[in-house]
Amino acid sequence: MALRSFAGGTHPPEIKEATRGRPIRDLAPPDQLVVPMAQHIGRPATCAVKPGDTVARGQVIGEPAGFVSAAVHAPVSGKVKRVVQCNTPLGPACEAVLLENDGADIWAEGCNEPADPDGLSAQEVRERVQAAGIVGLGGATFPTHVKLTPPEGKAIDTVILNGCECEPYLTGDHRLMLESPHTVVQGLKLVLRAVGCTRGIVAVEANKPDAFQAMRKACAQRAEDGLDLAAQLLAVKYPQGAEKQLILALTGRETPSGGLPLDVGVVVQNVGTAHAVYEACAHARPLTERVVTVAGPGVGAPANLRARIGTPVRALLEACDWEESATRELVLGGPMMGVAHFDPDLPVNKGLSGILAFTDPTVFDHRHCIRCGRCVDGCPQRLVPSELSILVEAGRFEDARDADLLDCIECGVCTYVCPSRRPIVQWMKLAKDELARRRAREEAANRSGD
Amino acid sequence: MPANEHRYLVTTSPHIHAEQDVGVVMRWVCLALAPAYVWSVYRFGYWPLGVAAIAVAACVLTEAACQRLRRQTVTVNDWSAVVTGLLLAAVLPPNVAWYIPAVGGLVAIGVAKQAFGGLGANIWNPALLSRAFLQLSFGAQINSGRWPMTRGESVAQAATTSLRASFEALAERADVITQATPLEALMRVQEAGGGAGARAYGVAIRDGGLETSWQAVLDAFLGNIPGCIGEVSALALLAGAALLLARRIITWHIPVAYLGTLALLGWALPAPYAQAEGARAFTDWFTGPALYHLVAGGAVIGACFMATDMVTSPITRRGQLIFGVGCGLLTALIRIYGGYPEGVCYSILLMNMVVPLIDGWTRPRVLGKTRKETGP
Repeated sequence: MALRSFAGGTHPPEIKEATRGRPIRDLAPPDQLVVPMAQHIGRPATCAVKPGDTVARGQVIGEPAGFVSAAVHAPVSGKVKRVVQCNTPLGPACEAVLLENDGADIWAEGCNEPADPDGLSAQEVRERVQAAGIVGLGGATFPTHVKLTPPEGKAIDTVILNGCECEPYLTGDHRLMLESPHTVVQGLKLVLRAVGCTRGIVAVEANKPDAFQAMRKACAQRAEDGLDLAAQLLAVKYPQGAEKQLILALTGRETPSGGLPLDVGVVVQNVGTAHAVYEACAHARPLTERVVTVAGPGVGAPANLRARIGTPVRALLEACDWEESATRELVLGGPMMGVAHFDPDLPVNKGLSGILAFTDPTVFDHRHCIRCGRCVDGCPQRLVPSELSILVEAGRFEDARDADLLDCIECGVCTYVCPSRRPIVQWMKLAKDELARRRAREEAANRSGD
Repeated sequence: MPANEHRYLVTTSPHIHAEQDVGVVMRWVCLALAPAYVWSVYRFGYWPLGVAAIAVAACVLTEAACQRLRRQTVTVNDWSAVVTGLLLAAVLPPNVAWYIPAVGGLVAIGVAKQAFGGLGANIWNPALLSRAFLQLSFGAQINSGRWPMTRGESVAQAATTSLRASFEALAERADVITQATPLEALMRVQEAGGGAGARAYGVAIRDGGLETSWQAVLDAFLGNIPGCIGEVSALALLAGAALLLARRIITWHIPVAYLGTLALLGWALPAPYAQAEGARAFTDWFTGPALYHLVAGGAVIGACFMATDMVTSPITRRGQLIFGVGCGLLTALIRIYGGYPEGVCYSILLMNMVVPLIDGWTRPRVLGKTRKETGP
């Protein structure tokens, strides 16, 4: 039987062998950590500590600045040294707290205490998730409590846990499903309760049969009357884990252009997020650590590390036998959508799924589009990327918008397959930014004209 | 700022790329044409290789010269000009004089490709546009009516001693046995109710139907017929096409739609013919020689190598099906009702012109949008 999937996509080499067989290792927190206030989509948290303050692990050091924001917690116990500016993977520098680790790892009062997750109401689950500062751990970093609060009139009937992990190299979600299937399923049940529905699906790509079996067993063992929990195997294809493509593959529903999954009655959460939800509700542990895959030709001993938020990327690399002098490119995230960064001292944040060290990156000269159609075949949004790339290259941003530019999910399939090596997705991002700038300018002009 | 600020390469995602770039694609196309050329050397001697070398050299030099003159980066290392040269030589007769592929290469690259902006910007398939130009300019040399068929003893010796000897043997020796091509035979039988040339292929009008022999179909499939350098053996071309399909350089859509339509119409359409007393008549519906249409002439090279040219064919798979059907339809109409024995070249050139229209009609519906919402 053909596995479920979506139309389009591509098959980059998986390159997961180096880490998928190795258990997640705890990385000892370093002496100093830099904890950014902007680790999520929405407004950055407001720094709630000052130099000299003593903090315990799990203590709030950044207060959420509004509903679409997330709290930031101290990942270790220790002392606030300074409030500094630090680089972020994307965009400008942000405020960050420089913590000196006292090595005691003492939890704050009320944290790390067993609680009964089964007794929580939907509202209580949402509150705990919000208080724990949980954001989408797949990389999107959207505050989870917002997703768990569907607006009036939007009925949710399905929760999908995303365990596809379709990016090459990354195996953190794979290991998590294998090692902690029960916490993931219990996290799923808490999410189901929060959004008020009964159907939960754990989606796993077919290249992780062991994780699928583990999730299937856990779903069966944790079954309850009135709940419909199942693991579902999906075809191995990039970007199977993209939200809209995942929903399409599992439910046949198309998320409307510009809409959200909840418009088609679905909430999608990463398996790591479900794990964090369980930790927050059952152990009162705020989000202070995450699993990061460290791999690539520039590391001698690739691994999955459970690292504290705020640990410098350098510390993870060095724990994996980093060949620093040979490394020419550092990628944060997966190779298809990750960000190449210049700063190895950047801290681990809530959205960092992988650190890849490449020794031999290639920079291509691009050529004219030869109209081979591979990007059209591959585009999971069914756009015509070749045409968009030509429009953007010519500076025709408005025309590109009219040709459905804004439906691009920036997965990079078009650019991966392009034989002319055209930086298509880069142009898409450029045009989107430029259109947003123009719109902001127009709005400002309209306001001043009133 | 850290001291190693500029140590790491900063590019946008994706950070990995598929292996096939333009050069790889073009080299696979060259390799896919190899079986046809090998067969051609076996049939006609070394001169076809000379024609190919001249065409390739003319294409590459013209490309380099045009780009130099326009102060552009010279991109002959992408092998696309080599492919054009090989395709052009493949659709020339084996006994053409040296200057025909030379002029052909100049026109293919200089006029059909570079004048439109180079690789990716041309409207027409460069090799076919050039072939059409040569047909109009050197009609006598190209359609000489002296298609080399088999080689006599002396010709066989000369053919493999030198290029010059090979050419002279093909073009000038009296002991070269010449014969009409299968499609010329079809045309003659329609014009005059059966001629001498037609008999070689068993082509005849009988009981209101067009008849061909199984032997003729088999010969054309294997390549034991007169014809252009690279198009005589359907088998060799299909082997090359299988390679391109396996490497995912072409997809099945255009070749299947093209050949399927041609076979269907070749079988279904009534062919006009002249009766003995000069009156016009038509053969019956659904009696045409479908297989004969497929293996004769340039159908296979056209469907698998020319119509599948990425630049000049539709970008969507549905569009490619429409394009293939259009090519098959025009080819059948020209062959059966037109003034030329063969219609592959003009069919593809005509369909090349409607590619932007087809692309517009077949734009995929964007995920999450209705067809109406999908722009532009």
